[in-house]
Amino acid sequence: MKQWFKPSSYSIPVMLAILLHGGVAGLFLLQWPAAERIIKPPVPKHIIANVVATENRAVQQRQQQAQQQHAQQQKQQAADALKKKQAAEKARKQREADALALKKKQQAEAQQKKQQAQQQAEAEAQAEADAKAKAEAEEAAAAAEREQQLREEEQQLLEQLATEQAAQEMQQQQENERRAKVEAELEADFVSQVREKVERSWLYPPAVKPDQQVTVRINLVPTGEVISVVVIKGSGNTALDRSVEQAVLKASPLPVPKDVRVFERSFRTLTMVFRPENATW
Amino acid sequence: MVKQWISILMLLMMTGMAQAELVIEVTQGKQSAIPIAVVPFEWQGEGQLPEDISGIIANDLGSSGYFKILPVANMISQPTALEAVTYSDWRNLRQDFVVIGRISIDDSGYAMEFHVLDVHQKVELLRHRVKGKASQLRDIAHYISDYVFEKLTGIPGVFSTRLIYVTTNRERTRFNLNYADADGAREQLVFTSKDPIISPAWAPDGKKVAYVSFESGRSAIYFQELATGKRELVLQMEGSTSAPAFSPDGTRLAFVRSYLGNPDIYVMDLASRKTERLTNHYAIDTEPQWMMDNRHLVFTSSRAGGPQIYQLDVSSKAVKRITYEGSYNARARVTDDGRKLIYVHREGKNFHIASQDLHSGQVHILTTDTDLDESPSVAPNGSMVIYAASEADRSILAAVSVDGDVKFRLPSKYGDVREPAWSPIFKN
Repeated sequence: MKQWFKPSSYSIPVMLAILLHGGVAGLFLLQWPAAERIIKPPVPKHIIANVVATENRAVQQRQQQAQQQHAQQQKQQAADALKKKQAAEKARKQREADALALKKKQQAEAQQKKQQAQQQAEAEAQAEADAKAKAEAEEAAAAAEREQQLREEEQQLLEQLATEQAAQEMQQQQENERRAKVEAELEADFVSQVREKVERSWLYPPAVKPDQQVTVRINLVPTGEVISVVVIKGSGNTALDRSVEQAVLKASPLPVPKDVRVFERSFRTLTMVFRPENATW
Repeated sequence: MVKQWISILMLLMMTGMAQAELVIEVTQGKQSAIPIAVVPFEWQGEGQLPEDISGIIANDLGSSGYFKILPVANMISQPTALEAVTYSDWRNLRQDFVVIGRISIDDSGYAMEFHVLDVHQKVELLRHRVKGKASQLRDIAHYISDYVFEKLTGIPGVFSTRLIYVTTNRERTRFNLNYADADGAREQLVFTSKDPIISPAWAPDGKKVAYVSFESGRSAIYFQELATGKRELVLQMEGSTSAPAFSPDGTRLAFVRSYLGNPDIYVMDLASRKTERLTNHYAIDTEPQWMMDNRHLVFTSSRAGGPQIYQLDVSSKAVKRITYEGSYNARARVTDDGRKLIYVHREGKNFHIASQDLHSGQVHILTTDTDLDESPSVAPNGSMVIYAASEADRSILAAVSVDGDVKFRLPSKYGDVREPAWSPIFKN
């Protein structure tokens, strides 16, 4: 043991070295999985913009929008229903109060009559008073009954209203869904029609490269007539930009949906991106 | 902080709005001929104009393959001034552009004013005025064609360029080196001999040509100035010398020297006239052609058996094979932009002109309707290839667009036509 500490002995350095190596080895063991090389999957240089994907995205967007609209409408409807319910409640309370007032009035009248009767002929028969009391009781009972009936009717009305509302809501929802779907289909259909028509009229000049791109904004009127074409992002090749403007004007009138809502929403102002992907220059 | 949030919110709203607008992508247009009408120009002088200017322009544009010319007979109206143009007429005729113009004459010569109109946008795209003498009418017409071509396609026109080529009679007793407009018109004789003339080539300035003549009994390389006709014997070495090719900067000439039956590529410095051997291989190395970087040559070699195209680094002398498709690829030319390699490719028994994309390596056969196609030469704007082809047992000149879509033949009056070389674009 002592000889370990002798300066001439290498024991301590050897131990330290072993410890250090052990430590490093341990670290490696711990770190090894994380140090695994992550080989990136080869990414194609040119991302070929899939037209179908754009369409899908558009449809998705439409659906999302439709859903959002939907939720909003539902919310609105719920609020409406709540309001209606509150109003109905208020009306019912009013009616109850009215009925109470009526009863009070009637009671007051009866009192008056009774006083009159007392004043006119106190001597008149006790039987008469009895009869009066009886009538009074009957009257009160009738009033109570009326009130009860009224309440029941009200309840029924409310229930009916609620079920009707639910049915209407459901119908509305289905209607909205159906319409959103129809509109999305309509839009997708016309998008492809527009694309086809413009594609047919697009003759691009020779020296263009497949990755050159021209973006134009097009203004249409509901007949599909092109009112204006403006290059919002050119390709740098004047001849290519011009060929795009011409293609759009040549394709006028463009096929657009007759549905005014759909036209206004998606077709009055269109953005078109032109890229001569099949250019061979 | 609040401001930041607001701006982020605004941004989100804006992107939301932007996404809401419909975007239609169009990726499949056509690169086909653009319909254009060249209305006969109005001649304001007396008598008959010696050249049909608008006819030449129409022919130029039509033969380029990039324009489809409306026949004059189909025109509803023939306006010659801007005010007389009814755009809807031209739209109904499915035209994209209309060219109109007037020619007048005064003491200083002819003056031509022309307009190019965009039928669909209903605007005048450009107008220009050109003046010249009677002898220059054809040049002016080609100039206008170049001008219109460049404005409408974005690439320079080559209608003012020239061709040189070799013609021979049937008996092969007379050889001519000829010079003509790119449309085959105005043919002129550069040199004539009873001995063969081969491999004509343009100097990059377009003023001088090089060719090989056997007039001394052995092959020798000559230079000749086109304007003066002055000839110069540049090179005659032991063995045979052929296939001269100027470097794009005009300082060097690559050529082939065959000594003891083994052709190799050499280069000569034009200032010092010193020659240097570039390849030293027992196989055939021939048909050198410079690339635009002045540093690389492409050439044909049989070092792998059949002829294939190789690239040679002139400074390091490193050689790299370029063509692999098929068993015969020869006589390569490179387009000025370095995009494409044009060469003769054998397919079965026939020889066709092929283009190879130097970037992607894709090979495209350009000619299928002519056989035994040979010696392609590329137009300086890279749009067309001119080549010699065999038709009814004689050799003619034909041209094809680099995409293979447009083909036409050049008129030739005399015997066999071979080895066309397309000039550079002349700088005025």
